[in-house]
Amino acid sequence: MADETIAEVLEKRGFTRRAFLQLCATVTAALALSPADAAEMTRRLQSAPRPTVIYLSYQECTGCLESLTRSFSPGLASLIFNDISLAFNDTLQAAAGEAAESAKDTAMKKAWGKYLLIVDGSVPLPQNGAYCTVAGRSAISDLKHAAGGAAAVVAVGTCAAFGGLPYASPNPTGAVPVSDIVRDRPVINVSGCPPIAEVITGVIMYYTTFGLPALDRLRRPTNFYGNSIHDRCYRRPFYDRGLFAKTFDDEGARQGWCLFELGCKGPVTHNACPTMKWNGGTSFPIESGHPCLGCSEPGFWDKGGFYRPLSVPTGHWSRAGVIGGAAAAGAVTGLAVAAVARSRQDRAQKNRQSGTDKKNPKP
Amino acid sequence: MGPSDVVIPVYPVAGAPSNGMTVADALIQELAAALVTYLRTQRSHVIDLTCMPLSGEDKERLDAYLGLGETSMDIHALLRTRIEETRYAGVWRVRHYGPDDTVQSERIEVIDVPEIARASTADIGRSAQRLAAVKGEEGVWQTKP
Repeated sequence: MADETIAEVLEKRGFTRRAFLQLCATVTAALALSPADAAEMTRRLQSAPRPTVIYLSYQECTGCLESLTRSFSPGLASLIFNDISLAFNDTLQAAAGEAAESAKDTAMKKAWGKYLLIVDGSVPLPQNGAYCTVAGRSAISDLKHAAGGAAAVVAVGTCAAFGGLPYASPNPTGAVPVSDIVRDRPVINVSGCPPIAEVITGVIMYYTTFGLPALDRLRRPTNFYGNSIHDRCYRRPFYDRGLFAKTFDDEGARQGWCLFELGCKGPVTHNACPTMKWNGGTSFPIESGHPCLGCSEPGFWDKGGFYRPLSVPTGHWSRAGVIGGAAAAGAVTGLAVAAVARSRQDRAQKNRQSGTDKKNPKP
Repeated sequence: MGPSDVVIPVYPVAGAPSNGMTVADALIQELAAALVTYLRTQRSHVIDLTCMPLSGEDKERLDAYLGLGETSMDIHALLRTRIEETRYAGVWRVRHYGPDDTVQSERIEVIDVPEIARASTADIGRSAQRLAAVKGEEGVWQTKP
């Protein structure tokens, strides 16, 4: 049972090898693997045992799970996630109370040391973790225990990856990201509010076949978070030519010009939205006419306003400077914007962390 | 004017590439080279178009270049898959569709027959067993003494 492969799971459900190849083709497409790597993934998946996934939720809104289960191809995502790999999830399972808790213990014991632990939500530290408890147990002790038997931990969503909304200033519960607690296991951050469903399943499949993916400095898989939204944005040519929408209903907005001046955080945000898109490849926020909120970056809630433009380093934050600079030297300015914004974020983060270190963080 | 009447252009209007070379042209070159390689070494080649940022113009150009050949196949397994041979023998277009008929994976394969079209040995083995069971039940093929 434990050594059952994904191909065997499909066979048991009456599917042929073709179904397995369809699954591989769609997953490798989502991962944007090279043809050689895609062939290798298919080869390895034939013999790889199906992964055991334990999914735990703490300070979160269940939006990440919604993203996953309401994704455009429920058949595929749920097949990979629910049917093939998921051993425990307290939101999706029918069991409740003690039955649910014992199901969790059983699932963990069965695959102790081997399972992939997915954590959704941040974890509060003060008062011995009293601000978030599940079945009378604090999130922090629950997580420490679960991580002890995990081969790796995937922090799904910006709350688990970077603290997210609970972590936003003034962080009343003293919430921290998963990586602050789990220090002796590999942690993969799959950030986003929520993350793209195919990114979550893609990371599980990648881990099953190749092990840990390459990660960026924020521990996000570079397959999906290697490029900024701005770099891959179809509206980028307008930015380079200095053509900006100034309001949501002006001529520029109608013409589909760049949303930089309406507060787009695309230049400092790394995610796969422009290429993978949402809702079955229908569109992504910028394509729908709304600036990127930067939801896959640390502290996105505290960047001074979703509709306030990123600043360029003119020394003074004049609007004219922003427009002129962007129009004159789009690409170069873009880099500078990213650098400045990043240093501002770093500073904001330091302030916040020093705040949470105090015993009673003041609002 | 309803929302569907508002057309947001994807690319700047006056932005044609200066050298006239499009992504479609580059893909055709890659396919030509892959066909030669396949003839020599039997090594197949796959181009995954799913995440490739092709413009509408690129797609039209590619469709026009490749055309439609003699063979097409439909697979109804976990997903629906449409396989079409292009007008160049050995160059196939393979599209996997989700339950809502959206394209989940689109690729061009250079091979004699796309692998997914072949019945796998494991499946043939199970077929043999199943068919043998049917024979046993109906007693059709049992030789009489």
